[in-house]
Amino acid sequence: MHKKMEAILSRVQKPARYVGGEWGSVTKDKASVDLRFAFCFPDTYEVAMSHLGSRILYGLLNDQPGIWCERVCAPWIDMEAELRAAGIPLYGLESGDPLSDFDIIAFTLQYELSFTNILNMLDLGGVPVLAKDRTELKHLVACGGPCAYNPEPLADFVDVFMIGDGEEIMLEFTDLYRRAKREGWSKQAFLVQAAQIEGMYVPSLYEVSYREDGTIDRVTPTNGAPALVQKRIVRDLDTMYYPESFVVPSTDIVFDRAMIELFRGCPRGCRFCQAGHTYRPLRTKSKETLIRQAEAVLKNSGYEEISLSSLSTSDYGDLSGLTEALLDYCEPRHISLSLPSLRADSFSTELMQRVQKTRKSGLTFACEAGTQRLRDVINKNIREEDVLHACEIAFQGGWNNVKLYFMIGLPTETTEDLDGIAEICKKVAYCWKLNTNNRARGVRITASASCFVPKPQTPFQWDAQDTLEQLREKQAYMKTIMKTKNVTYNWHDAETSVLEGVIARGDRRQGRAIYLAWQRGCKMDGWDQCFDYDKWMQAFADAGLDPAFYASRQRPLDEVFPWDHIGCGTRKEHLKREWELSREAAVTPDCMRKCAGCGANALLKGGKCCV
Amino acid sequence: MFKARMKFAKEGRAKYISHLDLMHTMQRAMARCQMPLWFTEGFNQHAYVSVALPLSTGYSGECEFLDFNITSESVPVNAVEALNDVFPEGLRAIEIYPLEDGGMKVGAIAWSQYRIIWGFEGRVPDGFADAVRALFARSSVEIVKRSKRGEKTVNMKDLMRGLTITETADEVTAVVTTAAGNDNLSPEYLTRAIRQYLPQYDIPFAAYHRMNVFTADGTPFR
Ligand code: SF4
Repeated sequence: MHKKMEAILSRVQKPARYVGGEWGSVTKDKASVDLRFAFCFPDTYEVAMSHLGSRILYGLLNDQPGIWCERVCAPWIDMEAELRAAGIPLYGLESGDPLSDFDIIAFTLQYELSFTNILNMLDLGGVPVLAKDRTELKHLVACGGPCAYNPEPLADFVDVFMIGDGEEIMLEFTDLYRRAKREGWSKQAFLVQAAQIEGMYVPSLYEVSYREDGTIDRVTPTNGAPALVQKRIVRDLDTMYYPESFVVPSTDIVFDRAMIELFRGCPRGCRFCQAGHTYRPLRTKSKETLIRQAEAVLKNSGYEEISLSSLSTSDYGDLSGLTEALLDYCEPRHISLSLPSLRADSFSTELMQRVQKTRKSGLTFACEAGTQRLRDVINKNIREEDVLHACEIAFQGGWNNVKLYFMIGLPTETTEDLDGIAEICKKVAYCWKLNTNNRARGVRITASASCFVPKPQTPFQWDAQDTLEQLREKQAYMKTIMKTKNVTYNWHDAETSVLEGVIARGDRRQGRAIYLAWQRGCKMDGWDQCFDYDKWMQAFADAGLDPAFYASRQRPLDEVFPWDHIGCGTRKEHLKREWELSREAAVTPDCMRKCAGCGANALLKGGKCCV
Repeated sequence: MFKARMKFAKEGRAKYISHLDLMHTMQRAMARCQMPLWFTEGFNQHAYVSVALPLSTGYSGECEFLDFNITSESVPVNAVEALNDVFPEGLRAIEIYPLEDGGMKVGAIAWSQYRIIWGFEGRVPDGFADAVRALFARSSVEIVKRSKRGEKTVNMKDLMRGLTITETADEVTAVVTTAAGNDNLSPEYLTRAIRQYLPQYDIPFAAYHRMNVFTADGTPFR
């Protein structure tokens, strides 16, 4: 390591996150590979290293002999200042080589408020941020991940987007790139070919025209690019690549544990949930595969905790058999098992009690809304009785820590719905009083309310988001009614949710605003201490754009959306039908009970969902 | 149950692993090589591992000690190799041995020997090494020492011994033994003293490496 770097590391917070060398990180001989791939996560190391999808793709890419994939994370503010002052470019954690040495620079898009970090990381790495300024095949910038379901706000900066499961499309993409590199293709020639790979979206090959009212008139593909880029999915999770080992950070990260993925997709159709609509159809991993992978990953990582990851763990077929088998392996080895995303039914509570015998970490319930009417609007099939019944069992079993999650600003919400939130909390507190056998120990009930953000590719994509003023008023009201003793009320400032809402349903004209915001110092926008709302609003104004046009406008059902040419499997007609049902507070049963005909089954061989 | 001690080195990229993180890292490495770590019983089961005299984050060392309990009768054969196969870059097990009768007590450590490297952008400034030699040849070098109990002016010469200074084109290296334990002297005070008494020299880089630890009578700790 260079002396200069050592001096910097002695001054910054948490230097271990900037040095690499962790167990499981992969080092190769540069001369032996023909593709250097930078896997960039536009957030801090601690967030990046916690992300399961990135762990999988890192393993997959490095399994290829000709590819060396390295990790690049966004440096925290202090480190960035040091790097800039010393003239040291952002680098790959494995080799320490500057980002500009890499062929493919890929970012995973988990959150709209990390977009400026993408620009900042490219710039710190000595790579031009605008796609049009990168004229060579080298430094090809690719993106994937949940936010790629509306890639348009990033169209100015990104060369290609991978839509859908990375495991499925990644190697087709890298193979084509390696061929192009070997044969000396131009960047343009490569992009035209890449657009022929199913699930690859090349924004520069699409022309967008607008109407007078600012909405989109039409999106026209050029150079033979497809009119609809349909996402790619892994059909069989049992044969899908899964790493035997993970990078084990030598410093604390957000989710510092092994993870296995029960299934992809979710059989429930919560109407606000983007993941629930974009990860369809449901695909399950068999119990045998999961047990085998869990054992391998625990053995190779040395982690003392494993968690089951999914959108709705309780819906796993043989959850009881799976946990039983995992506990058989874990208990004698002092490994703990955690089961997030459980639903509030008694079965789950019993299961959690068995699993977390020693750690009463707390129960969490995502109620989302305060009244049954509004829960029907959003199709969240959880009833107050379920929550109270689960709490009853938990409190009787000695638990004294419950977290309840809600959203405010949902479509059709009224004061009555907000009152309902306070009501539920009151009932839970009362339930504790009735059921606890140790009143002296007290209870901790935490209610958190986040602000609803309408997301593209969901039934609420037509809906107006509450304005900042409306959200603030509701938050102020909540503070006056959340008065129950033993209930701690948390809320989050509405400004970040509003910006998230603006960008989530943005079009490619927003590139200008994002660029200006970044130039004026916006970065790490997802972190309260860095977020600057006024600077963002000014950037939008200077780009000639009205944020309200994107976020707080009720959109007509026939509007052409910026993301209409990106297919997430679920058809727009289905989303429209769901939107209409929501206005009648009519529920749609989950996929296990009845197929709602969303269209995602077409992605499967034989066209049949397995639920 | 069986008490064991590992002597290890912490160098290169591993310098930046903090004390708390080092304990996790060690436990996970032990789990990877199936070291039969002993866990406490009861409500919050955890393994017992403890690092003697933790290094400051950013320092390297080749005389570090980790005490741990194992359930087997003796130290597993090839334990050193097995651990070295699963350590992150920069950690290296040197020796693992049983602690009979509890072994040497960590509290008995009285001195640490360090290597300090002062680095410069270009060549070492003229006269720097000699000026440093002359500074520490004085019978008294007073500095303000900070501790949990507050600030105190001390003669740092009382807390250090055996200083040798050598130089290359762009670096000056000091090897020095400083007090450890209760009334200790971090080697960083040498750099501070130079900055205070020889302000004409700018030292852009300073690196610290622990070479040895001793008890009061000069016996190497083990
Ligand atoms: S096709 Fe039917 S069963 Fe399959 S995901 Fe869509 S709604 Fe569910």
